[in-house]
Amino acid sequence: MTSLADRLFISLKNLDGYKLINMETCTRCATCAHSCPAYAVTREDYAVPAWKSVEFRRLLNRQRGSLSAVLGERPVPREWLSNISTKGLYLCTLCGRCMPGCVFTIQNLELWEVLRSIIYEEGEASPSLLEIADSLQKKMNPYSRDHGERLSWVKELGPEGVKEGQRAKTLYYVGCTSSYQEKTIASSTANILSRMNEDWSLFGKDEWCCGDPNIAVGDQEKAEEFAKHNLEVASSLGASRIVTSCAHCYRMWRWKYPEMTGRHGFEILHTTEYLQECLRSGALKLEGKLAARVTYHDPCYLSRLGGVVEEPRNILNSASENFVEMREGKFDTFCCGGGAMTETVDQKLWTKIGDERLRQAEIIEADFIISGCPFCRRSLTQAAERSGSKMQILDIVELVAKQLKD
Amino acid sequence: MPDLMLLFDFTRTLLPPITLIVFIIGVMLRLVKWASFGFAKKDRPLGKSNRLIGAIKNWSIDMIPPWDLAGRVEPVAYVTGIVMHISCILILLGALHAASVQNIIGIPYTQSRLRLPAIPASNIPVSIPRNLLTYIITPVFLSSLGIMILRRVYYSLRGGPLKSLTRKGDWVAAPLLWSAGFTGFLVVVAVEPYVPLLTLHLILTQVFIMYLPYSKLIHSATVFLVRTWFGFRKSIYGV
Repeated sequence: MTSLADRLFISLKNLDGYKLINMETCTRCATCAHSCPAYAVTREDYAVPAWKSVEFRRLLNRQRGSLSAVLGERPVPREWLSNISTKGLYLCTLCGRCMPGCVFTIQNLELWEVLRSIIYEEGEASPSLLEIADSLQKKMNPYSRDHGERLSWVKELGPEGVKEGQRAKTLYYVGCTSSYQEKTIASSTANILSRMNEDWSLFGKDEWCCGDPNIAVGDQEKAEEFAKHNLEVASSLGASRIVTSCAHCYRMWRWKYPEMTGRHGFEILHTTEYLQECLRSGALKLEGKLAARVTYHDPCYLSRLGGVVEEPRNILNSASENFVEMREGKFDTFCCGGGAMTETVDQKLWTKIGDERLRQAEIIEADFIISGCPFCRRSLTQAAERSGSKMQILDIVELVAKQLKD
Repeated sequence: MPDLMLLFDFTRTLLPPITLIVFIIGVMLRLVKWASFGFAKKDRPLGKSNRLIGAIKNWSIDMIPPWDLAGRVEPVAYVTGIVMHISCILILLGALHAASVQNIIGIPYTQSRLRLPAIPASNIPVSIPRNLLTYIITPVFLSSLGIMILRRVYYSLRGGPLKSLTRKGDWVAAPLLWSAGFTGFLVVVAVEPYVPLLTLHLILTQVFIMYLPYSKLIHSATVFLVRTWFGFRKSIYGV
């Protein structure tokens, strides 16, 4: 029996009728288990997507059951929240694979985002996520790195023709992972933009995190604040389009910002879309074709949650002679493990999922795995290093930058 | 025997309106609950393709299980699920069931376009071979639903994701539907004693209808919204 002090009213402000109907459609058939990368590698019952749904519904039915309009709301035991937080909530990379994997195509991802916000607001979030939240609050990035270091890659790698925070038609939104960790992606993108004679600039010191890690943390308000800030900066620099090399940033700019702050007038392009445009117009000419066996890993946030599937394949068919598809690609792509800041939150899960994806590439005997997201590049590179694999992991901009014709 | 006839009359006279009232209250409670959370229109970004096409796709070719996802792992669950639902719909559209609805809502069944075969004693016109419904579709329905129930029993004993997901309601919904279906089948194939079986069938069916809006069986209605919405979502992304 829980005491009154151990019960609380949870905030349901992020839950709406659409999400609720989605949640109440779940029949607990467990079919989603077999599409979930976290379940595939852990075989942990709590990793099953429907488990979160069942627990969420339990919270909801306690506080706001069918008769709550007449009988009033009832508080939920705090231990229910900590149970969700410690058991299954973070055994999830927010890859959204459970949605097409569900027989009803329930939009689980939105439910997990709401559930994370409830857990965060009630102070039950994972300690590592709280550290990320603190870093986002103070340093505008999830890696606890000084905001001043955000542009360090420019000095370190010296890409061509970089402008910082200047008015330009095209802005390159680098994102935190490419700024602090996978810097060659940022540098390669900058080189390509310059070689395409693009009127472009970086956001410069005013670039803040896109807000995707805030959603993983559960801090929806902060994500909205970051969205507003980034949109204001882009407007003040007179840009008409934003190019980004990160799948997570792309999803935020292209699909989430309009939902959070209203439609904006910017054209949002992922680097794969930009490169395809350049290839088609003839501005981008590649020197030779890579003879090695190349495969493409679809980042979840670019394909399933972003809608960019064919563009990278078109580029790779131009850049390589021997392009092969991996099993579980395109819309049904298997996760790399890098979403939802899993590297920090649950290293074991991160490595297991990364290892599994690498194994899938080994089955088709690929020499190169190309991706379009710094999180994927990082997760798969680490997996290759762990296993001693000779497979090379590159971002698509790195491959293209190497093959640019003078 | 008089008591049984009394009960039989009750299932056909007083019980239907009670069933209807309980059902309507359940539906209203659900609707009020959903509405209380609001359906604010989101400022969705401009999509890449037509939303209607997205919805149609999600109701047609995308219904085929994605092999790389669950289809590869549990084809039996997928196939039995689909077969059970289709056969269930066909049975519910059967003449006697439609006639039962007529009794409740007052629409003459003989004018209905939903005429399908019913029990042998029925004088209701038959539009598809009765034997197909009785000896093929109904056994298929009972077997596929039976497999679904056994799957839950098996995993609940052996362990696995279904065990951690199973709640009390899961032991009510599907078995209740199966029992209603089975007694209905016995009635149709004229197994004796006829009246007690029919009475039991009518009771089980009406309990099932009453239970529907309060349980996970609500998915029989919400699935139409959920699949359509996901189709919209995919059309926005252009996938």
